[in-house]
Amino acid sequence: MKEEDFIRNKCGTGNPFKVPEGYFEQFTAQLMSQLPEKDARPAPAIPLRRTRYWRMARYAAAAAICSMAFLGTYYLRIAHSAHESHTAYQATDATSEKVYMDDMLDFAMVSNHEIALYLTDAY
Amino acid sequence: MKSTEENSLMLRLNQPEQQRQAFEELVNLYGPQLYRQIRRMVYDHDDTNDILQNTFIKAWNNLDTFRGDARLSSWLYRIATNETLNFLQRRKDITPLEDAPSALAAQLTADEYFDGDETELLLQQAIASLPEKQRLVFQLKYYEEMKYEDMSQVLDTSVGALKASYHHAVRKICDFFNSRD
Repeated sequence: MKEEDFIRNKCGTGNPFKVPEGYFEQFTAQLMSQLPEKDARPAPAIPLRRTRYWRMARYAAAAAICSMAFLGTYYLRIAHSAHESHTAYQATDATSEKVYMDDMLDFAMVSNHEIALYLTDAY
Repeated sequence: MKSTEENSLMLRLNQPEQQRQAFEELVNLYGPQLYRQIRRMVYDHDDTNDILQNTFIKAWNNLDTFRGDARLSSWLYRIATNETLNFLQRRKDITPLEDAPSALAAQLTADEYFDGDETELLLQQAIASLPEKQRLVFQLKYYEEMKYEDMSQVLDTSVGALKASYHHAVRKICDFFNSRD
């Protein structure tokens, strides 16, 4: 490559970075003294698959408990509101029938007197 | 290193009674070249020393996981590269460099372990102006003369992408010099 040759000719491939004298010998000795013994390694970690299984099982149990609590609350609320609405309907049933009749008579423009006559066959 | 010698070292690394001594030979064998590669990325000797130490400690701790699919040297280069990139990322987070080439020139001029002339200083400034991946590729190819196939294992990048990266790096360095002439 032409451009690569340009750099090689101009700068070469020498190493301008120096190290303190005896650095690599000291480095090796220091490093080797720091390395732990293979037998003295910390206890083996729990295998990933096992930890993942237990974590998944915990999440599944938590999700199941939450779902059951939610559904239980939901059904209780539905049952309670159904009971309340049924009782309320019964209480308001008679009242609403009376209001309906009054409205109907008002719209029919029939007076109470005419109705009384009609009911007593005097009409 | 010839693959037969590397295989012999690997065999001894797998034997518990010879493992420690074989690892010491490994440190002596690859220490200097890994040092050069790290130093060209981080520039400071003390930082390089720390990264090199971490590299070999990680290699020792993970020796059992090395299956021999890649070359031993590629595996070590890969650990060193990851350690270096992590270090650079941490340093960037702490002190972001606004003008890397100028800051580097000042740093290298004051560095007692930098022994380069003005042209060398310019080259280092030009390399410092490259993106990290291009810097890595350039250093491994230009200085270490690493084959693209080996580099592909170290950097986990395709050979084609590495060639393109090196080509861009060389062109940018030339442009850097031309702009200074």
